[in-house]
Amino acid sequence: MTEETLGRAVIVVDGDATRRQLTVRGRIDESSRLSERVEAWAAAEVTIDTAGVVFLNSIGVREWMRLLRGLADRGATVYLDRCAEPIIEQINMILDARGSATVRSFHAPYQCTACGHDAPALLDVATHGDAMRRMEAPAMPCPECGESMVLYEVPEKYFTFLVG
Amino acid sequence: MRTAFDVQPGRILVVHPDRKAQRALHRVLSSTLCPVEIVELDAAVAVAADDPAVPTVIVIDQPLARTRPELVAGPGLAWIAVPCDDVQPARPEVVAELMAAGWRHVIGAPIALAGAELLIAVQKLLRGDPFGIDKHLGWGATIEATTLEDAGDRPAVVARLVEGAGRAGMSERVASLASVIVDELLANALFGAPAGGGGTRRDRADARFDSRPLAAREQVQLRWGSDARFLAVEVTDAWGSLAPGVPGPAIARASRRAAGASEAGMGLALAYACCHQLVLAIEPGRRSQAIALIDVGHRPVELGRAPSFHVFTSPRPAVAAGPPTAGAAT
Repeated sequence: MTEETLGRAVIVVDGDATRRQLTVRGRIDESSRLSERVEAWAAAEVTIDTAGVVFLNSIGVREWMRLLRGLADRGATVYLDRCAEPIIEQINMILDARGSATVRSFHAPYQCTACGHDAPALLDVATHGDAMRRMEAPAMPCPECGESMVLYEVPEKYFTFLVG
Repeated sequence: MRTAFDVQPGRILVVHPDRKAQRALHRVLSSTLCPVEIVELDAAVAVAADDPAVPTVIVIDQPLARTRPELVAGPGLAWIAVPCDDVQPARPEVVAELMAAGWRHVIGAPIALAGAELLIAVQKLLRGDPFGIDKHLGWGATIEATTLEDAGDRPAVVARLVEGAGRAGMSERVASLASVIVDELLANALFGAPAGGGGTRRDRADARFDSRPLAAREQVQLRWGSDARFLAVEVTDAWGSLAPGVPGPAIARASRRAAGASEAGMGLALAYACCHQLVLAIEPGRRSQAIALIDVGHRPVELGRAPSFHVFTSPRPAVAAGPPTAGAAT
């Protein structure tokens, strides 16, 4: 396992040419030259975990797309796990921000109906995908009070990438 | 008894088929103390064209506006497209279509929630005074101002905003959205505005976060504040190089979720997507200002999927006379 720092993003790289795991955290912007690492990170299957990404701007998404495109061009099957909200915002806006990758789980903004606590909830596509494609957001338990949290976004806006 | 009030000369015409929406619009717009008339579309065109000396703002139903895109360059001071229903928000595809056609005022929230926004927009138009987030925030809100004197200050300024938003009780999501908006608006002001204004062209991707002292005219001002309704940010450059007809169609193009769309010009579209109102004001050759408002007072499902969009110019444009011609909007 190695840790690479690209500008304001930190990427933990694990695995081999058969199966690679990239765990990204920090900020993806013009300082994050992700596309320059395509060769080194390519594998038959690449899983990218972005739960720790806190920021992605329009120049950063360009690097992100070049990374996905570069991996796909080298024959990689790419899975996106635990996508951070900034990644989903971009994927919903730009088709290329997902490319041919498969989103397996992602974070969504939730708010507790009882105590008002705001927190991202992790949604699993295999578990909730059918409902979400019907634009029905699953209720999630509030980490503070245990009551029910609801999606704090318009489903037709936030789940666009699941049907597009 | 002595009564005094500052009323601007002007007239407001409402073209909307829904009776409840008519009443709501009449109630809101009457706050200007200008005459508000409910009229048919043809009458609105005729009235605005017949007497161009009276600044006339026309508020029109979006589906109706969609059938007459050329009206954006029609008679009157401005045409503002509002949702077709008192309680339903605008349909995103209609908003995008109007923006693509060059409409400069398109409201996304349902009329019942857009009263203040509409009133502010109309008053900005009638008074010819489109600048400043203070017009959008409650009187009690404190506005923080920062001037960027070095291009490399951008990340620190964005971080400071996020920290401030947290202190103001905003959720992490709101702070995150605000950080993206401010980053994009600052980047446009630092790297895009000078190029369009005859200054030195700066390539944003290459410049990255390098420290570079900014000459007086290159300096950019960020102001932000919050109240119980909005987190508002304002970014102002001293170039005024943004062409008023460009941002709407550009954002509409970028919002089509097309493959390859992000290779250029996505910054403003991303800022638009992250807020509930994007308000641009341009004084050609002198300053451009972008204001983005994140609504924290209503649930996202109430506000709908399409943010509002406004472009103002200063000084107020000359009022067009005569009937609009097809294709004039482009």
